[in-house]
Amino acid sequence: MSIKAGDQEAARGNSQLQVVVAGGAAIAKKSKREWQEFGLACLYMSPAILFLVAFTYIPFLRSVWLSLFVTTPQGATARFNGISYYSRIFNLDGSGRSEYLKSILTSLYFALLVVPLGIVFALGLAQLATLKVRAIGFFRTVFTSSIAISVASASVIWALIYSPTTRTTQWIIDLLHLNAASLLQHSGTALLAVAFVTTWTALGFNFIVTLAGIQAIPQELYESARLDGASGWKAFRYLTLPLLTPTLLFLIVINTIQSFQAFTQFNVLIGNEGPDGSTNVFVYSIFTAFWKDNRYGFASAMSVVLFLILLLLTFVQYRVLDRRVHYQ
Amino acid sequence: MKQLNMSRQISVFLLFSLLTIMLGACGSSVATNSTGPTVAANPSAADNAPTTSTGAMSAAATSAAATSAAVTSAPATSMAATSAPATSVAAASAGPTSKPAPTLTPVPLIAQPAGSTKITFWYGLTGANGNIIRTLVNKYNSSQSKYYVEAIQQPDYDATITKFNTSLAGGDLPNVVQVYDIGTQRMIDTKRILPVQNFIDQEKLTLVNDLEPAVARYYTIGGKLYSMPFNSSAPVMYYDRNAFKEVGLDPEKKIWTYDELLDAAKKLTKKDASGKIIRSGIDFTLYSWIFEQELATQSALFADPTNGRESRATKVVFNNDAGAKWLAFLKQTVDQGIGRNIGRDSGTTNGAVRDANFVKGDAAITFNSIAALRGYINGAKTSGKVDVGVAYLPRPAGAKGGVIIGGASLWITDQGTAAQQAGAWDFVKWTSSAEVQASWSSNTGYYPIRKAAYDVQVMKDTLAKYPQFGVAVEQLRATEATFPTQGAVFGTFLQTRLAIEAAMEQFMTGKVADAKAALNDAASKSNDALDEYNSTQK
Repeated sequence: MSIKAGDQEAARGNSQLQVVVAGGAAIAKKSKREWQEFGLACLYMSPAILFLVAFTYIPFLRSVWLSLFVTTPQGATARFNGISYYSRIFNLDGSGRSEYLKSILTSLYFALLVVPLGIVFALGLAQLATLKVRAIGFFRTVFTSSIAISVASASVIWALIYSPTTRTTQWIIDLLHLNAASLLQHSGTALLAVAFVTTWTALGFNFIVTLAGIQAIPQELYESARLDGASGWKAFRYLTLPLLTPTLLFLIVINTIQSFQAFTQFNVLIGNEGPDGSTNVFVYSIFTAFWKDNRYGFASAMSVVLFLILLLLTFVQYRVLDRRVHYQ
Repeated sequence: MKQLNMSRQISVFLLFSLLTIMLGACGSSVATNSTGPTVAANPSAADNAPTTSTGAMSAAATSAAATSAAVTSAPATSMAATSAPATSVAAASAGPTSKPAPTLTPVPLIAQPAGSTKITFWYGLTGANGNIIRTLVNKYNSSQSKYYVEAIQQPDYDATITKFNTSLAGGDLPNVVQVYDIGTQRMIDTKRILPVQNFIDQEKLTLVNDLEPAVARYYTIGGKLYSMPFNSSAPVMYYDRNAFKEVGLDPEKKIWTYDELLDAAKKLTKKDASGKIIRSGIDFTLYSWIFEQELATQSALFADPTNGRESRATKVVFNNDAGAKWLAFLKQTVDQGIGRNIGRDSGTTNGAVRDANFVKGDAAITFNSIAALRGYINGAKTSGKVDVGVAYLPRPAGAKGGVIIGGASLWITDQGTAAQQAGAWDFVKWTSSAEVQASWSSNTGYYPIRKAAYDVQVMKDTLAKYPQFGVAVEQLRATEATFPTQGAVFGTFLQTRLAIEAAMEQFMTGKVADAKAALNDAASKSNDALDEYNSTQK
């Protein structure tokens, strides 16, 4: 059964200590053959490393560099600007304008809508898909199908569903007494509508991962649990859920990152800041700064900020959630 | 212990895969932003793709979202325009900012004959209009053998000028490029432009005298015609003549003041028992282009000094009474329940909704470019309810200004050999001929830029078929030549438009109670950007 968190911490501490000690010894004693192996490993990794350096790290460093400059419309640096773009984003420049902070909050709100909803849906469906019934494969395929649809295509489908001309969602508008032609045109519902599309689109992936996680749990555990009188909800609550936590942690982190980077659905469904700026997520602000305003330095600064936000979020999620994760 | 090992392995695996994905994904968003210009400079697939509306969207998606999504986003975006039922109605409409049009099979270009000089031509129109450009280019290429024009479609106007700017460093510029009206200052600032005035003066042509005066004025800065107007449009008020007759309004009246129009809209509005609007008097989008026009009808400047016509504009001044009056008028229609705000025009479907409402007879009046006329007439034919009428843009009582032209023009660059530059001019001169302009106008719905084009038979036929078009020409010619009606030129027009539409929305939704305050905010944002832009120019 699952190891108690405290024990696990202690055990991990020990094993880390061992690794460190072992590692130190290894370096001291590293023979010629090991060095050769190390060199060979580097050789094997070099294509990947070169690729990452050329297409990720160098551009990233260049973004950091560009973010400190005002650029010409051609993208060349015009003059040094210090960190004033950063202080502008965080409203520290005394201008009193907080639209970029608001944009970051919109992103955060969007993630808070999408991530829990997506995982709860996926968990529910995955649990259902473990039922031993006839033609369960069919259902699994159906639940997974949205993985085959790109975000852009899904957005087009949903653009039609939300379109006032098809009147598919008119009943919701009438129900809520909205003063807008479609859900996407009301500042109160636009972000929710996009979040729903995003959840739907991500469902296939989340479902597959969750299902795989559930299926990886050994059946013996359930059998012995049954002997102890735990089945149904209890088995799910005390067995499936705890053993699924590594998978769920993975999904939470991935989904958070993805929802912070969501752009396509906003571009296809909304195409601007949205009603009252309500769907102006941070990535969309970056897009506007880069493609509409052609302020490359500013857009770079925003990209760096986005990177730092995601780094911080992921770190926090690991720190906080990892304590609650149970490894088998 | 074995279990522990496994858990370590799993966690390490997850950690690593996460790290890779995160770094990769963040990196790509950051990476594309910094490398964006250079990427765009390369002749990527999207740039040469003959299909419509790719590029900007896909490039945008790459810059922000995961790369995999971007690959598929491009075709889907064009699908969005095709499949949204509303869009099809006025898809042919080409306002000042062209929207993705339905995907058509592009007209194939004829091959380059041996011994000819190749001229590269970038154009930003898509769909049906893009195909008409390709037909024209074929016509030019087969009319002579000295030069060969290679027409390369760009995703849209925005992407064209962005690509042009980013190509400056690489030096891979076209010889001729079609750029929208609001890109004028930016094109001049590239310093790679040969003003067409130079060529005209060299050949001592009297061509400028025959250009439509309002059109020539727009592309003249500091007394010099910089680019050759190609496709020009202007805004008009569209109305349903049937509805006007039905409620006893004069369907022939061309000039409406705000107050008269409010009264008319009141009469035109129909509501059901529950008070819901069945037919609204006026449907409108929050459209910066129309806002700019309303400033011009009231002879108010958009930017200082002199709309940037005599020297570089240093600040925008659209936060004036004229702007506030137009916003107040729009707000009144909504508050009185006789008009509907369809949302920002830059939204993906808002313009289409406005168009659909009008041609279905769900709205009696709307404002749009004259280039939308054909789309409206065809749409009205389909619905069978609406008789499309065209009037001047409304104005407050006593306003004496006029309208500003929109659309795009052709720019000649200093790229290539002297022979190529001469060829570029030869092609541009050819596109401005009365025959070509008459055929272009008859096939698209833009104004001919040449007065002589109206003497060509095909244009006469078109005017007879679409008498509404004549009203737009009349409005243009009735416009007095002043700085306000000449239109503003400055380097950051696009973002100013976005700021204005945001301000309009803030006011319409009541978030900002005062129209002036909303516009002030937009102006201060715009001025920040303009200051920054101007500071990078020497």
